[in-house]
Amino acid sequence: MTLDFRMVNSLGLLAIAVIQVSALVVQLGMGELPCTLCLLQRLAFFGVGLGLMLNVLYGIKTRHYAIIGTMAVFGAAISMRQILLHILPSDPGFAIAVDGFHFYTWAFIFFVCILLICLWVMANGTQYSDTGFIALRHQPLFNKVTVSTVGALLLFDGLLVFAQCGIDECHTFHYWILQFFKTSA
Amino acid sequence: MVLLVFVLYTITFFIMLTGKQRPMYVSLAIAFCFHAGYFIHHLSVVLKLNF
Repeated sequence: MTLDFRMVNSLGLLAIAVIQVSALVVQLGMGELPCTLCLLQRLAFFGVGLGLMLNVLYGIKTRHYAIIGTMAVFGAAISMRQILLHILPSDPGFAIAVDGFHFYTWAFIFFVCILLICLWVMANGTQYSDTGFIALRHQPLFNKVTVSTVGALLLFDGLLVFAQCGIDECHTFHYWILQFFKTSA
Repeated sequence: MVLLVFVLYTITFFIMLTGKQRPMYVSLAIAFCFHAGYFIHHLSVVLKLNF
């Protein structure tokens, strides 16, 4: 049996979509506004997603796995920075905890897992073939759904960042856009 | 700044869908530079280097 590695990368995109949706549930459902470091971690997950999309759309290449790995290391560095900010025993940490870990700790675990899985998958030499670019409309349905979902989430997250921060520095007090309409009314 | 990085990654996504490989890699590289640059700026403020 031969594995379709474009589909394997598409499964990775599904995992990225699940991570992004869970962050959005906490933000929109529980009213927890993300801090700047949290947004940078979300962007790093999207960076991993773009690397996976490259494999799905442009064919499996080592440089695409290198992009995924770079984004995972970068994301792990950002989340480690946030863990170190809250490392003192009396510090309650930022935002809610899920299963005893805060979101930035989970992000660090996920980035390390992504890096290890990426290294393990890229070691399989049979997947590299010069099949080239396959447009989204010619992809299987599963790939179409995962690529479109991650793209839509990227667009939606960008709009949410605009609503939260405007074109200024980000903060976690309130949505900039609500304050803007309140003051101009 | 974070918004700018989101915009750059979104542009990369849309270029990616067109199949134009070189502009897409350039766009991805620019987006990543801004992404990493903002994090380095954050660290520099914390370390009082301020660049």
